[in-house]
Amino acid sequence: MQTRRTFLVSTVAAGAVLAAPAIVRAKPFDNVTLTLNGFGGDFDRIMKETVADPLKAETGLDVTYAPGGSSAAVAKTIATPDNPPFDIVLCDSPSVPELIKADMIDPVTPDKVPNVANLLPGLPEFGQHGVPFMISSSVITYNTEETQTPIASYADLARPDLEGRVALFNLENTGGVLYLLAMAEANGGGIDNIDPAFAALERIKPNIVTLTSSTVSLIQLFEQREATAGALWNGRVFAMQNAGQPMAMVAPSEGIYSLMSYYNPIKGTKHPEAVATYLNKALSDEAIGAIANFFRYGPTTTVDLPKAVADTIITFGPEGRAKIKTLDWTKIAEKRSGWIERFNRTMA
Amino acid sequence: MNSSSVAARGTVRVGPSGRYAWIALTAPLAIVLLLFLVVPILSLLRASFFEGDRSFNASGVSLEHYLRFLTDSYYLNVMLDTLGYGLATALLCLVLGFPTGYALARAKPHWRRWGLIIIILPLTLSLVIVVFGWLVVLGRQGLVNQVLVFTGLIDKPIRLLFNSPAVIIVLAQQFLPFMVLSVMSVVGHIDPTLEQASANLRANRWTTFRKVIVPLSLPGILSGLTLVFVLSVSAFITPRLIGGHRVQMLGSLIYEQIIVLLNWPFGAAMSAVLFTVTLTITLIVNKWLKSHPG
Repeated sequence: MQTRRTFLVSTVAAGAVLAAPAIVRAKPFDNVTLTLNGFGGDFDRIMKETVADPLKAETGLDVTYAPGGSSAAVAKTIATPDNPPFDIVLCDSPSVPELIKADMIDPVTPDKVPNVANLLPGLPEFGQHGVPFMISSSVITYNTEETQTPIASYADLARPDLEGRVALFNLENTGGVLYLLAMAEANGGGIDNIDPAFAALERIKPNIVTLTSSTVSLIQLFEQREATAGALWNGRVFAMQNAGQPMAMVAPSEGIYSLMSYYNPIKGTKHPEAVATYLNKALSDEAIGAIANFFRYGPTTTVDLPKAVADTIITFGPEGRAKIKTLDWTKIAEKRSGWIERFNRTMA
Repeated sequence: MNSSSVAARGTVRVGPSGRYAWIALTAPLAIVLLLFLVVPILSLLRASFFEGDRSFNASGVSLEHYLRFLTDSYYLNVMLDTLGYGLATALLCLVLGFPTGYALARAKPHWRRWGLIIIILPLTLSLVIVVFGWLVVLGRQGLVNQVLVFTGLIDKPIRLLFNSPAVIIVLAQQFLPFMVLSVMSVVGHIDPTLEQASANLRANRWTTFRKVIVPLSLPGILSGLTLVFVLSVSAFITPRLIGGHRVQMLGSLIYEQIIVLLNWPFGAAMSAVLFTVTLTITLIVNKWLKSHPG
C-alpha cells in the first residue's frame, strides 16, 4: 500500500527524471547570439553548415550573419566604437590595418583559440591581429569561345584583338589593387613607384568595356558576354566554370597576387568567450576544408584536401604558396587613396 | 447668434489649450527628424571641418577639404556633370511623366486607382534589383538588342550600357513616379471647364495646352522637376553599375571616400557642397512657387 511518504518520494523522483533532459541540455552559450557580417550567398551557407549549426548543437550559441560589403562593415564598426554592430568582422587584408589603426580589434592567441596553431607558418600578415581563413588570388579569365589566342598576362589585355572586350575591377575592389601592383612590379615599379602600372593601364584602356567595384557585376558581364576577358578572383572563375561557362582561368605571368580574408574579433564584445569558441570552430578542418572545396580559394591551415581539389587551387601546398607575392598592406592602405584618385582621373 | 450656439451646431471651438495642440501632434515626428536627420547632418558638417583624412580621434577646424574640392577642376567637373545628369533626368521625366500625370488626373476614379498602383509599384522594388534588371535588359543579349535585331534595325547587338544616355534612362525610370504624382495632384485641381471654355473661344488643343494647362500645372511641374533633380544628383548605385567608369557622379565619389577610403572628412565636405547646391535650388523653386501660386 502506498503511504504518503512513498508517494512524495516517487513524485520527486519522477519530476527529477522529467527535468533531467533540460538540466543536461543547459549549454554554455544558451541565449548568446554573435553577429558577424557575412560575405553572403554560398559563403554564408557554408559557414552556417560547418560552424554555426555545429556550435548551436554543441554550445547553444546562436550566430547571425548580416550579409553586406566588408568595407561597409569596417566603416560601420569604426563609426560606432562604443557600441559596435558586430562581434566579429570579416574583411580582407587591406581593411585590417584600418581596424588596427582604429584600435577596434583584439589580438588572437593560441591559449584562447587553440586552432590558431593550425595556421600555416608565416601566413598571418598582421601578427596576432586577425585570423586568416582563405586566400583569394587575382587571375586572368577569358571566354574560350570568343578569344582565339590564349591570354597569358595582364599585359596581353592590351592586345588589339581584345578591343572593347575587357572588363576589370576598379581600385575600390582590392582585385583592382592586385592587378595594379602586378603591372607595376612587372614593369620595374612597385608600391613606391606606381607609374609603370598606370602606363600599362593606359595601353589597356582602349580595350576596356567598363570598370566596376562589384564582383557580382563583373561576373554578370562575363556571363552575358558583355566582356570576354579580364581579371577576376580565382574562386569566382571556378564557380563560372562549374556553371558551364567557357571561361579559362590563367595564373598571370606577372605572378600570383593574393589577399587573405580575416576574422577580426571586435574589442568590447559582450561575449569574448563565445567569440573565441566561434573562431576556433571556424579554423577547424571541416570549415576551412569546406570553403576550399567549394570555392577553390586557398586554405590557410594545414588541412588535408583531396588531390582533385588540391590540384585546382593555385595557392595550395608549399609550391603554390611560394608563388604568392608578399605585399605590405599597411603601406598599400596609405597609398591607396592617391591611387584611386589617379585611377578615376586616368580611366574616366 | 452667440458662440455657444455655433459650437452646438458642430463648429469646433479652439480654446487656449487647443491652440497649442499642434505642438503635441507634431512633436513625435519633430523628435524623429531632429534625432535622425538634423543631428546626423550637423555631425556630417562637423566632420567636414576636421583636420586630416580620418574622423576618429580627429579634432581641430580646417577648410582643407572644401579647398581641395573647390580648387580642383576634376571635382568641379564631376559636380557640373552631376548637375547636368540631374537636369537631363528631370526633363526626361517631365516629358514622359506629364502626359501620364495629366491622363491619370482626368481618368475615372477606378482607372486612376489602377494607374496609381502601376506607377507606384516599381518604388517597392529594391534599387539594386532594378539596376541589375536593367543590366540584363540593356545587355548585348538583352531584350532591347533582341528586339532591334529582330526588327532589322541593327545587324548585330550593340552596346547600350556604360554611357550617359543609359544612366539618364535608368534614373528617369526610377524617379518617374515622383513627377507623375506631382503633376497629377496639381492637374486634379484644375477645373476641366477652363479647358472647355478655352475650346469655346476657338483655341485648338495645342493653344489650350500652352495657355491654360501648362501655366496652371506649373507648380506641379516645378515640384516634380525639383524632386527628380534632387534624387538624381544624389544617386550613386545607378551611375556606378549602369555608367561604369565613364559616367562619374558626385554620389559615387562620396561613397568611395566614406566607405572605401574611410576619408569621412573629405566625403563629408563633398556631401556638404552637394547638399548646399540642392538646398539652394529647392529654396529658389519654393520661393518662385510662393510668388506664383498658380
